[in-house]
Amino acid sequence: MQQGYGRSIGRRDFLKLGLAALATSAAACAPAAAPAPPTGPRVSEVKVGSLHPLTGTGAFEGNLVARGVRLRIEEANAAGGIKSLGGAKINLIEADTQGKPEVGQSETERLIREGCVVLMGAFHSAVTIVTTQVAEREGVPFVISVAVSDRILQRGFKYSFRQQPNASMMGRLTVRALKEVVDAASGQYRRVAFIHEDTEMGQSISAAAFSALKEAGFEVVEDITYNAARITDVTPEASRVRAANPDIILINGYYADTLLWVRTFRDLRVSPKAIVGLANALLSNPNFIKEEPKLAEYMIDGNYWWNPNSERARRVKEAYEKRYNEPFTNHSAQGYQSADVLVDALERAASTDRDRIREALAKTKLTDIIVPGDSIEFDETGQNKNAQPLLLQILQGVVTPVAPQKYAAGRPVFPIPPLEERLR
Amino acid sequence: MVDWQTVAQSVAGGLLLGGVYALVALGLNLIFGVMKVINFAHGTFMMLGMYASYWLFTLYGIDPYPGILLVAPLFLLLGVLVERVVVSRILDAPEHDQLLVTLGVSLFLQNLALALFKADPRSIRPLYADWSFSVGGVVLSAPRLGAFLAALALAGLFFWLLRSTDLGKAMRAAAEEREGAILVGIDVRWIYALAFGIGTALVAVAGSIVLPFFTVSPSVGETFLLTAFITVVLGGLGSFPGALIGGLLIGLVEGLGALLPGSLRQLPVFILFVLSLLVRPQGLLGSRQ
Repeated sequence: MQQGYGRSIGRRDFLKLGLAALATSAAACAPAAAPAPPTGPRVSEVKVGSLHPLTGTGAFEGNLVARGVRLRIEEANAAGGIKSLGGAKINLIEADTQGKPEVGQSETERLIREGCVVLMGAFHSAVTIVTTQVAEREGVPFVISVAVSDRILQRGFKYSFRQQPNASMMGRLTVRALKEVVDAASGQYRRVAFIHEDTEMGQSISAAAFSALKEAGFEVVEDITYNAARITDVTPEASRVRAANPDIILINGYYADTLLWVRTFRDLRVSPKAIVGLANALLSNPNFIKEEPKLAEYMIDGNYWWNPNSERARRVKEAYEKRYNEPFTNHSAQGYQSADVLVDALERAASTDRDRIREALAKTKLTDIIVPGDSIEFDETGQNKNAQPLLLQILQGVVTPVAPQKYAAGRPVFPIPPLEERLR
Repeated sequence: MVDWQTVAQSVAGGLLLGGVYALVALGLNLIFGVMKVINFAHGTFMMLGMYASYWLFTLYGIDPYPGILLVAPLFLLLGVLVERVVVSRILDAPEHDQLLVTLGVSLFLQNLALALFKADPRSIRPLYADWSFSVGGVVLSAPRLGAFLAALALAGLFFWLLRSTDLGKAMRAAAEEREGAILVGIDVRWIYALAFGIGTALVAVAGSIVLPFFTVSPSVGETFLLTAFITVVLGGLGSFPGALIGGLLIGLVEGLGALLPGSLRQLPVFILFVLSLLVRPQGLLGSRQ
């Protein structure tokens, strides 16, 4: 049928091209690497790289983290730069990982070529695994802004540091806080349906949460893994959950996919005693409250947060909301706090030498912090020993820390009212 | 332990979404069938259709369904424009060049959306967002049922257009035999532009009708694009009934796949895909060339 100048594309070509395009779309998006300008001995600026997903999957949260980082760096520059370096300004170079490990790798290499002496990133655990590896190989300190997987720091790396709780802390401490809440309410609600996304983050959090659930006497009656980037409908999975009739639904996921879950539970009239997020990007997000006020009410999330009793956190929140004209979120708080660790280390290192900076980072002991915990101090793997996630509940449209007691700003509501009542 | 109700729910959920897959695939297949161009910007147009409906709803309170009357002509126009300005120049180029061009259009539009709307996931809450019907214990959510029915209605309209109008006949003629079509006086250039426009309008409308239950962000098109490619190949390249049946079938298999443990949900879809390539490489309703 194909004659003349109309060309024919067969099925094989169609497939080949399709695969080629999907593969190249990653490479095609990577900005071309610029040749590295030589870095002289004169210190007029300190180059810091910030790697986050600014487009693609996770771009929403990635931008929030990046904005938190930017705010702290801007503050440092406005306050006269790094004083121990004669007031050298921090030159923050921002790169986009697109949420893809291969792009993260090439962008990390580019930032190092461009002369960054310390890097931050990278939101996705799967991407951070790769970016920290490149940084380790090149001997460049890497301050993890957000990335939860334990595995990142279990490889004996010397140059990676993380102030936020890792996955097992997140899973363990969230389940512990949840147990307190459940026990206080009579303790009979023990049947849990556990839903988690299937990348590095979900895998590592769920592994820790599973053992913590067992230890705390919960029974996992349904276990569902899903692909957050590809999911368009969770009706079948949600009806599996409905059939299992759990007391508590535990969800670890990102924004859009968790919204799909929560809406589908509403459609199927699933009415558990609580829906609890595990490091969930939706269930403690102010945007969710704006979009679905009735569904959002009473949702619980175990997540990193800022310390509601910290005076400095209040100031940062105000500054952020003024600077970006949007609500301050926990993601930005982590970005800010991690950049704060970096600024502190640069000040103490009094040098742009990567190893000096690494040493300063390892000796971090920050007490004036905006996140929960007495101080930020790293163990030999580079993990902050005192990191603490909070249990948050949306109460009257406000994300409120409800446990542990020390950081609570409100009392938890558990069991939550039945669905019909919540939708009224 | 899987009870019949869960199975029925999975089948229903899968089929409802399958209708949308079919609509997305129809547009892709039209463009491919008529122009022999694989349009990698297809998913991006769906994303833009979602944003168009989002803003119509948010700014003017126009529901996505009546909003179709605005979105469809708008994207028809946009499609014609993109075809005339960009795609028409590469019709005779080697296919990898075409790929790069449509991919380039996609990247450009995606990043434009990112610059204009930011990466925030956005969704709307129309009145019927939480309505649902229970049929023998199977719950059908109103937005999803609406999307399914609208997709079928649009597919029907499209088939009628293709079979019973002069434009449709001209399109089929241009697809079948380009020189012959030129010889009998069909202006193939405009047929191509219109085919691209209609394909774009179809996928944009698919975006409109998923918006009541789906969150839009600049990267949302990728979620649907891969499925659309599989649908087109499974149903048969250039076969429109094939795209319809392929879409429903993939929805169904994906729905049932959710009954499998872990992340195996996508597995049956790809098994079906590989099987069809082995057993019936021309696709379900495709004809051997």
